[in-house]
Amino acid sequence: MATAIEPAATNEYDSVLPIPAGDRYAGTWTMIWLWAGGNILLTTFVLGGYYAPGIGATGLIVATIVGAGLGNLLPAISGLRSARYGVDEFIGIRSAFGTRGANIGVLMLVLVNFGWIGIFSALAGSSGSASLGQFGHGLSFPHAYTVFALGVGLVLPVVLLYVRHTAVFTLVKFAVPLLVIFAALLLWKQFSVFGWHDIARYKANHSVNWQYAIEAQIAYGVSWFPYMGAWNRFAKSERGSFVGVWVGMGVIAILFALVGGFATLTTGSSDPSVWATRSGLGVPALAIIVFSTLINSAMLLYCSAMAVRSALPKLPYHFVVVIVALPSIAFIYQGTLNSKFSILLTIAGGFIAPYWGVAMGDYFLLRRQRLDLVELYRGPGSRYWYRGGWNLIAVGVWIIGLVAWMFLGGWQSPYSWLAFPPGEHLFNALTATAPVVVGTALLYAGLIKLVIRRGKGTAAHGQLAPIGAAYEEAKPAPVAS
Amino acid sequence: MPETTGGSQASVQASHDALAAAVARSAAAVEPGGEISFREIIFHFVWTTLLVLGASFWWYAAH
Repeated sequence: MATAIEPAATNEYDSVLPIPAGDRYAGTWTMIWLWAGGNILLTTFVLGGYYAPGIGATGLIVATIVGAGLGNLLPAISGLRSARYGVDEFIGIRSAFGTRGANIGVLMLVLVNFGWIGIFSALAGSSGSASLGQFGHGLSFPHAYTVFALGVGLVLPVVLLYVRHTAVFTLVKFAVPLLVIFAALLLWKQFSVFGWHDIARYKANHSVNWQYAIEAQIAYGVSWFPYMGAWNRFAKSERGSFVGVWVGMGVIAILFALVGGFATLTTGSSDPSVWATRSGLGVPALAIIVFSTLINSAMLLYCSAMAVRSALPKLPYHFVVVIVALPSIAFIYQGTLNSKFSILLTIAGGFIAPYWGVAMGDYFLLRRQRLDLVELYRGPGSRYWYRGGWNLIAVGVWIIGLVAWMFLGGWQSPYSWLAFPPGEHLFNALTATAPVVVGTALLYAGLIKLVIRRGKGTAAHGQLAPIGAAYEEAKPAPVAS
Repeated sequence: MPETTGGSQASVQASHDALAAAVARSAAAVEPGGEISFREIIFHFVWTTLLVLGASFWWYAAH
């Protein structure tokens, strides 16, 4: 019988190797707390506030529940790959894009993380300093914004990852239940002050429409695609990871968007620092700000570090953690919350959704959840090497999906040149992100099947020859005895 | 399309070989076994999509 990977292996590759089933320690509840913690974000509050005025209180509730249900299901499905094989996201998707093509995903993740962590840190800065004001002037101090933004958003997460990245699992187990209680308290406070009858009086002003609300929830869920693998590979079972992502992220997406949406309706502002000031809930608000920012920045930075190491495994882990953290500082001090958030949702929908749509088409529709683990790590000559490390059909379908999303949803971005009236019209029937994920998965699977059925994936057909090799029946996956 | 050449090509190959060898030694201990079937995935996708469509019909009927 083959020898298990030593969990304490100290060679430079240890953290990018697959985690043996026996060494995975995150049960279903741990995964639920982890992904719930992942979604406990000030931006999850803000999301509800984005569309609440447009569709009113009742619409807010319905759109949030159904949108979050579907939006968080998609990453839960995508994350099954890493839960089954114990590999990082960007190792697993090599089967679709090729060993080098997977680095497109690495690049997207690292760049998007600069923005997300910048937003989290900036919100922590503004909301943290506003919350301190609730305790009286004695606790306010100059540069509170910078202390909260840099300290909680970057320095503490880096320290946490330096000490032990799995400490995040310990942190979420006690912090997340507390934060959920605090969020429920915020919701209860809104109802006790205003009452449902008052809140329900806020009718839709149609500043945004129903599809925008559904799209926002789905794009927000889909923005988690790149982060699944780094953490799901610690899951003891596929079902644990699936339930953890869907229930953990979904419940928080609903609860927080409702709190944020109602707060926006009652205060007239979508800025959490305004609610923190007006709610009078100093301690809960401050706890949510500090712990949610710390947990999320640490989770995202770890994903960036692992993604970079999947492409460049010889780089030292601690060095990579710092390198992927530093550029976020620029995003803390420039741009408005609204503009940064719109840009990130555009990137999530336009770039990330079709990329992972192709990856899901490869793994679920073509490979039926079976990969050749050793081949994922082999270089030139691997069945997943395709041509020069790139699967050009996958890259082509991704680009088609990107263009399709921009046509349908580009008008949501801050850039007017991305607005196409016919696309916007079609958006009102289809939305953008969900059809692009499904469409790219189907298109990719269809094209590959066409190539193979026509016999072009053979050595006689130069450019397409590697396709046939890549999609030969995978060897029966080994099962732990 | 030209790939990396000479020494760097050899280095890339060596790096991948080392990783693949480590994985090959441990492959039997990696997979926990498939618990979620394709049919179950499709089932969840279909009912959540129908929920979104149903809610959308409700919204447009009400407005």
